[in-house]
Amino acid sequence: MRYLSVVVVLILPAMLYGQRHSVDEQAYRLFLKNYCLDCHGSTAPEADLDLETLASDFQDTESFSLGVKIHDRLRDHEMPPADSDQPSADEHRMVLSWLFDQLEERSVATRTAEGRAVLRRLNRTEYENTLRDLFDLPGLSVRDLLPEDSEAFGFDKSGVGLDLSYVQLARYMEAAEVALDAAIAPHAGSPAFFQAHIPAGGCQAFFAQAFRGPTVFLRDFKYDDSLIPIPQKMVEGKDERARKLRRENLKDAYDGSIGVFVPEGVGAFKPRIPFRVVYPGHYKLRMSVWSFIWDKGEVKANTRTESALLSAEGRTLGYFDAPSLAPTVTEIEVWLNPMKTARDEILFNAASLWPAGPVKGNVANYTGPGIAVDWIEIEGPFLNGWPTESHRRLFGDLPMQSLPPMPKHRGSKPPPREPAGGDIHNPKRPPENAFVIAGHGKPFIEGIEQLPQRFTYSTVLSNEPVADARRLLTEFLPRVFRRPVSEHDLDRYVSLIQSRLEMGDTFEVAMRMAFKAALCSPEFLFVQVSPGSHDAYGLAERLSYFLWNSMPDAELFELAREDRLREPDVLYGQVERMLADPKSERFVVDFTDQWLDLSEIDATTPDGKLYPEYRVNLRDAMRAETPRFFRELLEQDLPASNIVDSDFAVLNQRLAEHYGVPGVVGAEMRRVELPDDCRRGGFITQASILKVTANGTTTSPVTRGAWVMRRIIGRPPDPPPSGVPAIEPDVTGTTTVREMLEAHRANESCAACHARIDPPGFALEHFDVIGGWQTRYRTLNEDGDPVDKSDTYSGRRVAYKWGPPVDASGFLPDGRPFDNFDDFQRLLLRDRRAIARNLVAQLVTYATGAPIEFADRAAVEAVLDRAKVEDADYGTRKLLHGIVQSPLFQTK
Amino acid sequence: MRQIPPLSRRKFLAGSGVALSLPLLDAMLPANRGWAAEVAQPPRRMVAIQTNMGILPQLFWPDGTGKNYTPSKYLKILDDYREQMTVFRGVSHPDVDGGHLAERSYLTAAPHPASGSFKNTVSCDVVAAERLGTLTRIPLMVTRIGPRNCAGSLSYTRAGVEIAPEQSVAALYRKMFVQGSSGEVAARLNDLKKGSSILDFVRESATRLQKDLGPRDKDRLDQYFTSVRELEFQLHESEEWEKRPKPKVDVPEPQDAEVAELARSSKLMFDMIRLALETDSTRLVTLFISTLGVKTDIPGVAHETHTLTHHGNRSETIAELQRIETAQFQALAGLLGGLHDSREEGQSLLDRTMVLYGTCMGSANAHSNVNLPMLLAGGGFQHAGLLEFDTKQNDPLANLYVSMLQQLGLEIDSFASSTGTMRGLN
Repeated sequence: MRYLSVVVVLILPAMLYGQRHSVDEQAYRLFLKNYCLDCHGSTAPEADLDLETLASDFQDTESFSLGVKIHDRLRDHEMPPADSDQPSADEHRMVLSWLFDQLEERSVATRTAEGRAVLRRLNRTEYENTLRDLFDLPGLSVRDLLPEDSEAFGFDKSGVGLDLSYVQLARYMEAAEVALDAAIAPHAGSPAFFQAHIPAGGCQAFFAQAFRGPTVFLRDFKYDDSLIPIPQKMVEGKDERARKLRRENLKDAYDGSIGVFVPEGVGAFKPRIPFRVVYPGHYKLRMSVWSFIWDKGEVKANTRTESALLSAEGRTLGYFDAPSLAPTVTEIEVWLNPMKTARDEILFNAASLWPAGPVKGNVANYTGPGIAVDWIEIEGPFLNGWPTESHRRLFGDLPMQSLPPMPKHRGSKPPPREPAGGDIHNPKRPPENAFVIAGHGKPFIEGIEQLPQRFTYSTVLSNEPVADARRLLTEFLPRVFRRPVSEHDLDRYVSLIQSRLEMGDTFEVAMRMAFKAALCSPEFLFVQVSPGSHDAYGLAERLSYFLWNSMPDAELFELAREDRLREPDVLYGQVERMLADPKSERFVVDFTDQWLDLSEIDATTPDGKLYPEYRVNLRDAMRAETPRFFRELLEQDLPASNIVDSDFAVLNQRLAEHYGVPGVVGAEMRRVELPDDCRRGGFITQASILKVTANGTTTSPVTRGAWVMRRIIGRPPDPPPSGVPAIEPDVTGTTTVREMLEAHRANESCAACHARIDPPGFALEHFDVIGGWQTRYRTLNEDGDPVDKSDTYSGRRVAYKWGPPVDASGFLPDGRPFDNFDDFQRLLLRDRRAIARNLVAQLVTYATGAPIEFADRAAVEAVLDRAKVEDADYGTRKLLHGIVQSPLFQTK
Repeated sequence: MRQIPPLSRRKFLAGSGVALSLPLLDAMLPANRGWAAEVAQPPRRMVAIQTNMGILPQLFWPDGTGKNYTPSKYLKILDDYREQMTVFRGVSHPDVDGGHLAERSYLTAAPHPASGSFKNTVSCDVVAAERLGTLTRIPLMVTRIGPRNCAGSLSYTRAGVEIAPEQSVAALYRKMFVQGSSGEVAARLNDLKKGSSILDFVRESATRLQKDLGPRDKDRLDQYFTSVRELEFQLHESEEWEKRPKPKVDVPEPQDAEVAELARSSKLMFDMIRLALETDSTRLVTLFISTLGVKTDIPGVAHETHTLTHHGNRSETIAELQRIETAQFQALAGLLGGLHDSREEGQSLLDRTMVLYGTCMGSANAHSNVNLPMLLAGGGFQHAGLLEFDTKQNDPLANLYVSMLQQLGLEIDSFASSTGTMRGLN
């Protein structure tokens, strides 16, 4: 009946409505008149909030959200302000409960009608992951073919943001082609397995730079003067002897070690590993490296472990520890894509070294650290049988048959397919597998002689095309649509194939068309949920797109078929299983990326003069810490308050150096217990987060404060009122941002909001734009104080000077003071439930695509109650389980 | 360069059949079919450009007023065309805030792009394409300069969905000027036909899915139907254009520049835009220039552009930024010059082409979104020099868009947040 009366109110003209005021509403109006309208009346309302004309039915979205805001401000005693008349406890309680009923009623009505979430399509990350899992092609890359998705409520997981346009649909059609090309085996014969052993000298950049300074020849931990004496100047290309040596090296590579003094990119130093992948797949890379101090010709022990980096396509493949004078072999397994030109080859980077070295050739007089490379080995591709699993999922065990040679150009009949990893018009180039660039003398590869010089493309053959099509699609379609497929739908697909066969298509081409149609169909592109509780398939889907960012696997599908997934124990077990699966890393990374804005870490590049120590190895470590930390919270079911403060961090050597934590050696990220006097702990002290909340040159308490409010405390600040000029950052004068803000806050209308926004930002002022600890700001001004070499990360001279000292004190909005960040952390930790509540809200929004509405609040509190542990804190994994078990997750 | 004779509209329509109605959904209603008679003569064109990292205001705003302004450092670069140019001071989009995010609302004027539930709206070029799109091989040329694999164009559909941009000048060249062999054309037509039948097929799937949906969800699925319909239309139109010979130009296919080569990639793109207009391959172009994350190779520039815009008033940082922006204005001068020198039916192409240039931030250093540096060149307006409005209470930029749409021959009197046409521009 309540719902009905809402409808009645809606259709009544406004003049009639005036007579339907309930007693409570009159009390509400009176309350407003007595305590609110002085400031928020119709004439010049504060903060543009006019309560006098605001409809009290909160019917439309805007007035509803204002209603929630009024409710919350009253509840938290933030309004009316302390210096004005206060309502009595009774008045307060009564108005609050009236407001609550109004809002709850409205919120529940909307939800009952349509569910919390809106129907949505897959976002492009989910789309790519889904195709990867559908075909078992873990390196498939189609994400970048699709237009970027928009966010709503902070994530790209809501139908509100996930629009669909014809451009999008056209790109889906393209992406389906790309995926099918990659999935279908191009030929019947399996590619050969390669094993390459490449001595450091086989990398031409390493060898050639040994005549100019950036590298040296090493053997038995000494300079190897068998080729040239230690250079004292550049040995130019004209030098006949050097040219001869280089020619010889092309035939028979130098087999000693190469010491490297500079990272990649210094000068034109681009050391590429002469190995080109033709067939995409998993490969194993091994590299033997160690480090040393070069002291004017002597090889001495290093004081620290250096680290080298291999990358491809601009993507980090892995870091390799180079301890002092101890050749160390590290193996990584990576997915490599086909490399078409030298620019695609794997790039070596002596990442931990400073970008300065004996580049002018005077190695004889140089002192500094170096990384020695002994050799690199690559093997692969590691295939899961042939034809590949992806092929078998499309065509089962149907045989393949050779194709006639391709015409040079496409004729009126399209070719059966463009195969992956090879050039169909150039069969001379071996599209098999991988090969080492010619010209290193000795073949480093076992069995290179047996490689086929040519091979033939093939197509899938069927003697009973219609029956085979039906059989294959019966397997394929339910996986694509993530639910059972009706006979009628199956028939439609089969008749599509039939009609193509009648038009003269080959079996494979006709099947491809059906596969493509399935991959562009709404059943595949949309996450299918209808209002009310999920059916078992809907629940499996929601679960898998939450924890794997992808489609359900066979086990989930089977449980859905048996309709057992909704049993709480089964569901619990599945969440445990899914979190243990490596695919859950997608959730950990994607969720932290979006929740904490980590995907924006490269939006600004810190000024190289101010922050010379910000280099790729630091950036990669920062980027890795935050998701690893969240993983640790989940794995150990640690309290949610760790978001604000923790007694551990996830570090590697470089990040530990950045944080001033001693005793961490090596590039691997690992959990490190923090010393008592360490100021780190919690997400908000992580360098990645301090970086994304600064602009690269200066820190802004407003930006950081607003970020903490939005992401950690869960109380997003209101946008600035229109017409108020922004603070123009000025680092030339002596005015600090704090001083400018003081002036800004002198304006009363600014002060109200900034009193809430700025404090977390002030507390974080001790962290600079790359998350380093600062007691004074760095400056490039002439009048700054000089910086001692020993105070810098590199121990070298720097361009920056010391500016004004940092003041990280402030007041919380309720007046409690803090002197520094430690104080502030302690104050925040007094309300652990609020921190946990925000985490739940973020997770629910991510998992369901809908924010926490007024009517969801009770369910959130229930999740919190269930996850509560003894010391009034909340286990992260318990919270996650609680969310999955709650109606928030299980209904639309 | 050989000039292609203008396509006869009558002939074109006769050849293509009635199915060739207007692109982009909402306009695809029979009631709108009377458009042909309304299209402006002589042909009018529009190029809308945004550079997204602001323009240093102190180097942009001229002294003086009206036609007698004394050019600023930047306007000096464009001074050859001052008679065909209006500079606007004191304009912005009302309620468009959010610093960088305002770049999305440049041609749409959609309010509060930074808010959690932001929904963009149709951009003015798409409104124009609904009317003019069928006249040319490319209904609307949506282009971009900037880092690869990033989103960002200026054009948004009626549903507020971004239209993905083309970033490669080589691809644009091939699309407009490279005639495939007859075999390739046939293969492409075959592809298009197959595409159409896949669309037919999935439409039926969507129809079956449609029942049981609430109104909000139906809305979302409607986007799918709309997309299918629009894409079918596009495919059909492509089929028709595929059968027509492409114009020939005596310029070789260009090679795309590296992302860091901002000056060169600007020139390449501007040249391609000029070629597109000269050959009447399109009449509507949008160009989004994103320098986010780009360290340009411009001499004397050592830092990434976005970082430079947070200059904090440091003179050496401003100097670097000035070098970048100067190069951008020089490239713009090249475009205006090229259009000015190109003739069509005895008239300068610039007189028939509106070139809008500007940015979404009045000051990138402060991330402010008011007092936007904006200018409009060409297009047959009686240009006014410097048009000044209240810098405290800006005039809506959308008023300019109304003026521009009218100049294109559209009978509309409002767009987004407009309150009329642009005061002082006739």
